Amino acid sequence: MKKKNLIIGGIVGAALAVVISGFVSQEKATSANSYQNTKVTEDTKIKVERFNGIAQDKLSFKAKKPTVLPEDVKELEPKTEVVIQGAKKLKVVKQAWVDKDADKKLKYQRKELLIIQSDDDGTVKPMNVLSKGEKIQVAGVDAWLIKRGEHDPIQLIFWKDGRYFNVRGMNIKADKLIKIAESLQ
Amino acid sequence: MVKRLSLCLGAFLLGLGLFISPKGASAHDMEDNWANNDTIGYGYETDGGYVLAIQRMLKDTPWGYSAVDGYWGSKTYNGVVNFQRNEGIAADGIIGPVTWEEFEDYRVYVGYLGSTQYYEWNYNLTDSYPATYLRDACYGWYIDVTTNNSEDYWHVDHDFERLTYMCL
Repeated sequence: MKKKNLIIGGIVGAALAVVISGFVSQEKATSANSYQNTKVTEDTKIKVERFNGIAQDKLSFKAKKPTVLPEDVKELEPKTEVVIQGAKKLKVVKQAWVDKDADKKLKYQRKELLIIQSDDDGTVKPMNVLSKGEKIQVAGVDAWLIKRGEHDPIQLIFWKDGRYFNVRGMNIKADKLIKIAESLQ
Repeated sequence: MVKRLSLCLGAFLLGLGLFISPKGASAHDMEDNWANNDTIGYGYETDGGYVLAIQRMLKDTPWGYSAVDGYWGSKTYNGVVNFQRNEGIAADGIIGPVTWEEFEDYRVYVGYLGSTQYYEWNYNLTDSYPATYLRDACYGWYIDVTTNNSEDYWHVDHDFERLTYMCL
């Protein structure tokens, strides 16, 4: 008799769990469907135009360069990208510097600096990314410093004058990265 | 007494069910925090969008031995082992939280594109065609699986699901 009651209680509990979890999943789906969806066609498909160097004629802003750099690094060829979705465009410049002897080191031992600038004005910010960082001030604006372990990259993210900046360093200390960011001109 | 016991057991199973069922009932999509992603590799998940994403990112390293086909095999395993070794972490060929974090370290937000966040996976800084990710507000993470600028985005979960709709 006791066993029977226990089994019945267990079955009822498990059944309720399945019903409730199904209801929760349905609620999530309903919430997602409340957005307006658009079918991906040739017109709305994401396309990326890529150019070597700083293709100033493709940009709506003048690309900034840092006057402060880490020691013993060499500059790699910059890249320009125009990300297109329908009528929307995101214009991007990427500049990078690496150890002069990077080839002799494992990846996590290398010194690397990557600076990304785009014409994202920060109206919509990626809070899923920024929430991992510490909010500080850089060059008079709010910035987010995202760091994990000693050999892991550090990202410094901020928006200034209607433009997005991501200054990312590996084996570069955070205070140096801030100086690099403040020297962008 | 017996009734109380059965109620307790029922309640326990209810809690257990609520904890387990949502994960089992639907595919667990890629998380913003990649350390929370499901484990990939032999003995764990071995096909679908997660594997596509790993294979595509490995193509930006010197260890992209495998095709970007979404099926885990020895070539993908060897690529992951080499990636782990170069990150200075345990090289076991299993992509658990630590390895996912190492992959996430190279994910960089680039900007907002109307309705989606646009990211690049910048491991090789001279690469002309780095892996790119879209994060859609409705459906989460998509990765471009091509290495030649032709843009073919697939959803990152345990299924094979091409990007066909975007939310605004």
